[in-house]
Amino acid sequence: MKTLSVLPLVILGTIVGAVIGVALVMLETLPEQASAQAAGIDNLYSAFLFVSGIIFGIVVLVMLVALFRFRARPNDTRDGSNLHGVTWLEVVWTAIPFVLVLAVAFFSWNLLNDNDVSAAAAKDCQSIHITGYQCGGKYTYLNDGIGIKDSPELVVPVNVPIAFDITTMDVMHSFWVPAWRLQMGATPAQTNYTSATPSKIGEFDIVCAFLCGVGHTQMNSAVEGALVSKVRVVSQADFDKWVAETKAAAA
Amino acid sequence: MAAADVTAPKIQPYRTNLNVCVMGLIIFLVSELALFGAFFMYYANLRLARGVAWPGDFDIPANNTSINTLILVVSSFTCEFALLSLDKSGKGGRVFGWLFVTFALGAVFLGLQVHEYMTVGFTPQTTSVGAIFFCLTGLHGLHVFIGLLLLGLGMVRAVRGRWSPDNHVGLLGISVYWHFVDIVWVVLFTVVYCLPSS
Amino acid sequence: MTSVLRPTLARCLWTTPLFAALAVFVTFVARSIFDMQPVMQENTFLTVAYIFGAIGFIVGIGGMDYWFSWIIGGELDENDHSQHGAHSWRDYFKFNTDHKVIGIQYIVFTFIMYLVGGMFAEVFRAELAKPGMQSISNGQYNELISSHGTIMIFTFMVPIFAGIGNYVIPLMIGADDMAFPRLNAVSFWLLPLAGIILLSAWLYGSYNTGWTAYPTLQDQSPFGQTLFQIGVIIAGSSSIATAVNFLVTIIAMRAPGMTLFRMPLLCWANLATSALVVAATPFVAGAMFMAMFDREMGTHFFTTDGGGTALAYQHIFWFYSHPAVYIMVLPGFGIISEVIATHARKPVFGYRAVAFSSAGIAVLGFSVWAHHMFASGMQSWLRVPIMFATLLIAVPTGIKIFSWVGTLWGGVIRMTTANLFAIGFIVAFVIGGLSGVMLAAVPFDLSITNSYFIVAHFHYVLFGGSVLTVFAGLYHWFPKVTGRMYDEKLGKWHFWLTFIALNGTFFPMHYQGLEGMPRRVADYAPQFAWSNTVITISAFVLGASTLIFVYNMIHSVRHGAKAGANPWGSLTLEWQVSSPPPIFNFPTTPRVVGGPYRYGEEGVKHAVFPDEQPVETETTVGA
Ligand code: HEA
Ligand code: HEA
Ligand code: CUA
Ligand SMILES: [Cu+2]
Repeated sequence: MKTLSVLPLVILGTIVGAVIGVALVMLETLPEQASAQAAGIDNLYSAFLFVSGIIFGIVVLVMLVALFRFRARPNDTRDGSNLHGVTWLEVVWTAIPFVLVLAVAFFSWNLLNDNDVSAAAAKDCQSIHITGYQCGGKYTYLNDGIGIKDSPELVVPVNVPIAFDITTMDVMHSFWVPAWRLQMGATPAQTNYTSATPSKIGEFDIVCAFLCGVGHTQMNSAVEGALVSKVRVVSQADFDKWVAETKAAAA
Repeated sequence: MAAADVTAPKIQPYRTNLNVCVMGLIIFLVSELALFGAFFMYYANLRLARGVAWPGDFDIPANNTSINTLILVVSSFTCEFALLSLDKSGKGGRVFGWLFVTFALGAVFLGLQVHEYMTVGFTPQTTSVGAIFFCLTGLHGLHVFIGLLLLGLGMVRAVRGRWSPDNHVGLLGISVYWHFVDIVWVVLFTVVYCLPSS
Repeated sequence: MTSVLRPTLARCLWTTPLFAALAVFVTFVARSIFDMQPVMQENTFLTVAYIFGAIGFIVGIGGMDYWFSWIIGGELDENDHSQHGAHSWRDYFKFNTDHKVIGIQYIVFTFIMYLVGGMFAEVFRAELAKPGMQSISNGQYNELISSHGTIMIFTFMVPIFAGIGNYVIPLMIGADDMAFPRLNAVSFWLLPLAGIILLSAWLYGSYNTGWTAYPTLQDQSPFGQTLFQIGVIIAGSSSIATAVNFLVTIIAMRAPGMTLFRMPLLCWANLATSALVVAATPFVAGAMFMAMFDREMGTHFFTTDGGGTALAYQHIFWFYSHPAVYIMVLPGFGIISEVIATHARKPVFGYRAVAFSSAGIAVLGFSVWAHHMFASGMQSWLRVPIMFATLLIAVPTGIKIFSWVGTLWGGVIRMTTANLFAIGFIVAFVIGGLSGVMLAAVPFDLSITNSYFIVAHFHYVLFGGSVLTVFAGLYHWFPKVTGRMYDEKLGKWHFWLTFIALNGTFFPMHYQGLEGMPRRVADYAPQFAWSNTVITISAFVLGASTLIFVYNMIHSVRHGAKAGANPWGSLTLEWQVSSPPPIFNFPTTPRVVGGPYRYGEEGVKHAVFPDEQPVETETTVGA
């Protein structure tokens, strides 16, 4: 049977694909992981890349081999075999992707729940209200005793879950911190929720990823002439100090 | 491509038989349904997802409109009678009559609808509720209007004796369209007028 | 003199302004009577002028002549074929009811729009070549990408498949024309209209809100945004009309013996696509109408004041636009089945599975729209079901991919340009599909959405997918349409340049997205400098490769070697008539006696003509 001779190729393709997948993962193309949630998402991504590599490897390898083995010579007028299909094979290649995508779906679902729950369950979370506008962001700290309103700068304590509620004064914007693997849109006339637990001290880019007019390009703390500033993750002590200073300045 | 090809086509190019035209119409009506669907989707989003109270501060006159609904439903039957009264003689008198009754009912419906617009006390600009109310009923009204034009066409051809038992595709099309307009209204009436509170 | 009265483009020169002027006048009178202040509302007048001017254009070109005389009960000659077929190049600029002429009109027009859309891309790619702002302002950048996306999708990708289908499908099923030839012509002529309107938006400040045109940003745009809405509505009407036509044609006009499971797979693909178009396209029209009312009539569908909800627009828009991405790829799948089977000399592996998977994709396609809205604050319970449905689409798509590989396996593969494009398509589409599957996973999407990763995804499926299938199809049917062969050598240059440049352009975008480069920006962080330079250079190569194609086509139409009726030795019906086919397609009605891809069986046929000996030999295996 011709079809059986494909099996070694499929195995080979799996190996080649797995290597491609691992190589892509090793490329370390992601920004640093600066939140508690980032690792889970990166794992999801790596697993994806690995599986994708295998699927790609199999399809392309089998196809390339076919192209060389069954290539028509010049002036070749033969026809191929008149094979119309092999039922078991079709069942296999329907079933395996089906199982795979179900696995992916459940994996992702779990991760989604984990990320949601971990923030919601945290008692001492820091609630921050973000207001986007053309073109910039304002941050209001909602927790008792902080009382900072419309700060142009986002400063957060490390290792404390932060609950964001996000809204906008004019058009849609979004709040994206690539290092936190977190993005949420700001939709007019409603409040969207998201959360993250920063796990690294430092400064990270804030990006508005949603087309919001002529200022959109500059609503990115990484570009020239940025209209928003980076998020500053600081220790709890530094955070308290910042709060005190800011309040003093406002008063 | 020689010009000689044109003179003797062995296959008739413009085949029109009943199935093809009515099939086309029905498929087209599916897409009309989807157009209403877009507005209904907005309406559903407003009420289900956003929980907007309907009709808000406005008064949507369900009672008067139920009379109007009845008129339209009756017109669907009279339209069907027009089809049933086709006879071999080729005289379009009864067909014309029923079509005329249908037309008149449709016109009354439209008139009452316009009257409702004038008296309802809000405009499409007032709020989103007003906008979607006018859009849904207005889109339907536009369809009634087109239906009236088609009925008028049917009457013209009836007067000329152009409808017969073996040549009535157009008439069938008109009645399918009219039934469609009617069914959409019944759904619209139920959803928009009859479930207004909360 | 009479040419301004007969249905020609010349007549449009006065009907269009006439209708526009009448509409403006009526509006003026109405505004005065109802005392709407201010009476002289320029944008309102422009809007009605554009809409009624469009109707005037269709009347002028002759779209209404027949129906109008039917209505007033005039004398009608059912056998009047004066508008049928092309006898000189001039007939391509007229209202023509021949599906082959319309097909060519479609293909040429949409391809020109592709070049225009591509030019927009090249311009803004030049701006992106290095960091910092160079020659283009932020506002202009947004206008350029919006025009690029809109032109590519609404006036190139969706309609070019209608064009290819128009030419090929009636021939394939053994019909003499489409079911409604006049409607067919009207749907074509709506398209240049849409194209002109979309481009003329540049006269009124253009539109700068992306091809998705979300409120509330679109409320701030200049008048060009309204033209965007009108243009999309008109292009959408054109799609719907064609889809109705395809459905009826495929259902009702097949030659004797052409059972559903003897149809070539392109017909199946078009059947599924047309069903999608009919059921989905009105939604985008609805969204556009509401957005237009918001802009021009002061309603509050999507505005923040007046209780509107901006999110509803996104739901309605994507309820069309996700199915639209399958509208833009399913016919391509059909083309690939034809091309691979013919050039690998083998029946399509698992015919029925491939046919049904189109239907499966079409049905599933309606249940996944909200995967474009994961980060826009929609109801959170909707996310998981949508994710499941989206992931499931990988299954029917996978069936197709595997079946094509299975078709190649054991064939005698001829490496023609058409086949090369088909193979390149498989490679690129798998990449694009797999990144799509990644995006479907909510947590991952939430970490990456609206970044260049998405741009990479959709160019892999749209360019690596749909555009490559278009090229495969154009090369495959070029000998049929023109009667001449294209230049294989140039074709191969075209393929390899395109394929390499396509990966060079769109692959690095994955990394940019992962590392945090948002889409729709004119400037970016310095860390992306070198990758953007690579992309821009590749994009220029990509543009240049297109010129090879254009040259090859134009040159070969006149100077190519004569192709003969069936240069590929294909079995499907369109190859059994002369190239180009006679004006009424088939001299005698063909009778279909078996499946379309019965390669490798001695002496069997897909169809016979009455003057041939009938050989009714249904094979036992599959189709
Ligand atoms: C031709 C057009 C086309 C096609 C075919 C697709 C196909 C798919 N798309 Fe894509 N998509 C777009 C065009 C297209 N898309 C566009 C234009 C946008 C952006 C719009 C905008 O915002 O401007 C977009 C955006 C987009 C998003 C939103 C991203 C965001 O904005 O955050 C998502 C998310 O789920 C998505 C998913 C998918 C999936 C799962 C498929 C699937 O159908 C892919 C299925 C195919 C395969 C999976 C490969 C072959 C299969 C196998 C080899 C079998 C084995 C595989 C597995 C087991 C996984 N797409
Ligand atoms: C079918 C659809 C399609 C196709 C084929 C393409 C083709 C290309 N696209 Fe496009 N693209 C979209 C659909 C498509 N795109 C959509 C929907 C968007 C989203 C828009 C939005 O955000 O709203 C987008 C956005 C988009 C972006 C992101 C912009 C941003 O977010 O900031 C980029 C960036 O590089 C890009 C690049 C390109 C390039 C380089 C090509 C190249 O393949 C182009 C190749 C070039 C040519 C074909 C031109 C060749 C012609 C000549 C060189 C001269 C001859 C010309 C004349 C005679 C007039 N596209
Ligand atoms: Cu704010 Cu983009
Ligand atoms: Cu989608």
